[in-house]
Amino acid sequence: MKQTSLQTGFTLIETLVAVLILTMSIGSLLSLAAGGFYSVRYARNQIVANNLLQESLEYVRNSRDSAFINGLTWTQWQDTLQTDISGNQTGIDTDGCFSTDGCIVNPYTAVPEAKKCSGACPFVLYFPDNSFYGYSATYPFTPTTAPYQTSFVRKIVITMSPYSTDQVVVTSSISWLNGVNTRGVSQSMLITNWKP
Amino acid sequence: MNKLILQENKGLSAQTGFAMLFTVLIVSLILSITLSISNITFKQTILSSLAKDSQIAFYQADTAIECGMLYDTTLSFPVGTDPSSVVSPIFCGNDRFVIDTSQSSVDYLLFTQVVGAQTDPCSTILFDKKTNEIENEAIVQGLGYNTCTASARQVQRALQVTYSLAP
Repeated sequence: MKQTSLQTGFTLIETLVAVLILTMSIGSLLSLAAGGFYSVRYARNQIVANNLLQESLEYVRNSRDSAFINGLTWTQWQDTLQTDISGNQTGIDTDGCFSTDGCIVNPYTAVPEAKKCSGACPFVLYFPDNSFYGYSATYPFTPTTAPYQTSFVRKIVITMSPYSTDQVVVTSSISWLNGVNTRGVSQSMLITNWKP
Repeated sequence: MNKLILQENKGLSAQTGFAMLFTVLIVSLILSITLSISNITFKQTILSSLAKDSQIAFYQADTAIECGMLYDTTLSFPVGTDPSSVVSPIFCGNDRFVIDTSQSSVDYLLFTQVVGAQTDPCSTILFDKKTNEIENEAIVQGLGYNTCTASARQVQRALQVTYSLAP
């Protein structure tokens, strides 16, 4: 009888401990997998955000270079970015991209344009048939499917250098939602009136 | 019967060392796998941050080159400028650059950015006045760094502009 009792199976406590260890192991693995999925989405969004950021900085640089080629002065170039929410030049030095609200730029319209943000800047749209990110107003392509609204918001702010009227600092900021968390990237660039 | 059980128990207890051996083996195996994965993850993290650091360094170099061209085309530093009497600091956007007299000469003028902390991104501007003198060309070089401190994480990006001087 004593011999039989030595060969009995697991006790209830042993089983509970085993189940607990198993649950913890599986739980941590699932948590790791969920974290992985989150990171993958974050990485994908970060790539898109960085490209949107570079596009906007390149847009501003291109507008300066185009202005120089077309014979505009430094001040006349600044005027092209001092616009209202419809993209019309206002002649106000603290308007458009030079305002604290910032502006959006859209290189994909027939005539590239910069529009002042009214408070918060609008969401960037995704055009699936061309795989382009942009804004819808006067989109030059004819999307066969409706553009999708993304959670990306792009804001360009230009500030005058405190030391020189021949220098402006262009700052582009992108923010987006990753799950429930707001993420963002930002980059500044100096533009100068180097043309002698 | 009692004797028999006792003998069997003794026999079993003599073999429990195997359980310890297996435990050590399995733990070692899991530990080595974990360390390998951690090592790969660490390297991947460094690689993935390279793109971000590179972008920061590139725009630092770009800012340096824009500023350098502004000062060069407005003839702030004509050929033969003595580093000890050069206009310093110069201002680029919101930042200050001072001449590095130890690395400058009549031929090369090197300006370094003044930063709040050494871990901040920074840049340097080099005005090549020797080439300017010989080939009637102006060369401005901008070097950008994601962090001023020299470390394994430091990324450098360089831009150089060469242009003919106005006759």
